[in-house]
Amino acid sequence: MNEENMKPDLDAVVEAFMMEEDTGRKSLERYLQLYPQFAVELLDVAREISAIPDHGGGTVSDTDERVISAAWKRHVETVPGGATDPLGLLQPSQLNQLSAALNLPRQVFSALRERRVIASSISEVFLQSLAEQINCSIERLVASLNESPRTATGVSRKSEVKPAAPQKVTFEQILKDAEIEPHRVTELISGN
Amino acid sequence: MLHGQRLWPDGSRKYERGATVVSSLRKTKDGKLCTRLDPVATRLCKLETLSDSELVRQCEILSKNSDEFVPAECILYFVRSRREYPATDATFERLYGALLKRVLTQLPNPNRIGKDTERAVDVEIREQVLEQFAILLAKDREEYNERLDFFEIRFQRGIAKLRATAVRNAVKHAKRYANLSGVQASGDMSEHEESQLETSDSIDFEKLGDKNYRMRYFDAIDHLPDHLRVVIEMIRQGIPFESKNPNVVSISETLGKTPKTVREYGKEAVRTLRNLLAEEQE
Repeated sequence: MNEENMKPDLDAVVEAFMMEEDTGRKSLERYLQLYPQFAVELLDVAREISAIPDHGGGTVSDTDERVISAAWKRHVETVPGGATDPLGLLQPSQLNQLSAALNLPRQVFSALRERRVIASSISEVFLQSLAEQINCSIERLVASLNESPRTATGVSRKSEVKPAAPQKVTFEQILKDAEIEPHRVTELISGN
Repeated sequence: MLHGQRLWPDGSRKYERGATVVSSLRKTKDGKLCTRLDPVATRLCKLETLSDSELVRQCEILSKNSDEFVPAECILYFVRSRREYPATDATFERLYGALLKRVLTQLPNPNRIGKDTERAVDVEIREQVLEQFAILLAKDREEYNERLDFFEIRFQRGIAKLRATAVRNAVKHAKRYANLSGVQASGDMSEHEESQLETSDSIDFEKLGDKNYRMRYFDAIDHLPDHLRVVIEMIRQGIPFESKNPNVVSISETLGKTPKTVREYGKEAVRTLRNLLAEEQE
């Protein structure tokens, strides 16, 4: 660990202080002694802790209700798991498990992982089943499907001609390419 | 299915009490996993057994005097446990609303009696804290956010930290800052007042028994420059200007200034405060 990493972090120090059972004078003095460079922040937080205004039992104004309502709308606009990519994280062994669980050839799930399927062409029923299998929400799955198609990893190419960028196709096309029986394709597309 | 069983499908650790399962926190301190305070953990186990409608009813109780009052730490747990629920989930929405109301109860009331400028600062503090907390929640909806674990342990202190930052920002931005920053320390201090500075952790001029005065006094402290505010806060904590004992914390040692300098800061802070408060009374 270099010297830079040894420097105490303001947030970590303030939080450690706040985690103390007692944030009274003794603890404060100890932290001031150890971290005099954070005296302003430690003293500000100590005062806020000792002067917590709690209007418990009070009513909430109409303005507050509107503010909360607006915050809720923004909150649910956030895509759960948006910071991670459930399809990109799928391992080869998981593709086999999906294949067995949903009774479809492995190549269908490879196409999904490579984002070669138009998300809107997939029935909600199938999306739901897939989301349950890979343990994420439908919103998160759709967000992942809507990403740009990518080339399969680990595929060797001997041609000197640069391969064309993969294109998105309908889920129906993927199923037909996998030689799924027509009645099953209809079933999967309609979601019945 | 129990609420707890739907949580953290990635296999994070859980602890069990009786028939219910409550997810444990992921935050660590000194290499150990942080845990909720016992009353919160116990209450969570009871709340886990309730139906959604009953859970919401109890969480929406704002009166601390009610036997069914639910600690904010518990409400936060249930909001986080629904992080992947859709916008259409009515229980999720009501729990979210109940949680933000708890945040609001710990913020300055903009309807308090005072000058317009004071209320403007209060409004800004409310907006900033609520926004920062909402951002933390949104990040947690996106992906588990360990910063919120602290709020599940000590909700009030977590809000206090957000408030401390918001106060600093609001004061800097407030219109009245421009006016008040021009207020200079003036007037002499009596010998009695000077001796109070040296010895007391409850200075006479604070008159802190009066709630309105106390509020205005704290507002005035917020407007002091950092080097004066830090001294007045340490005086209020009873920390001496200097100490011969190396084990005793002193203002002089903490700030790396001579005892004479920090005493001057203290006097300047008191005189500035007095002027700020006198000006507000006019």
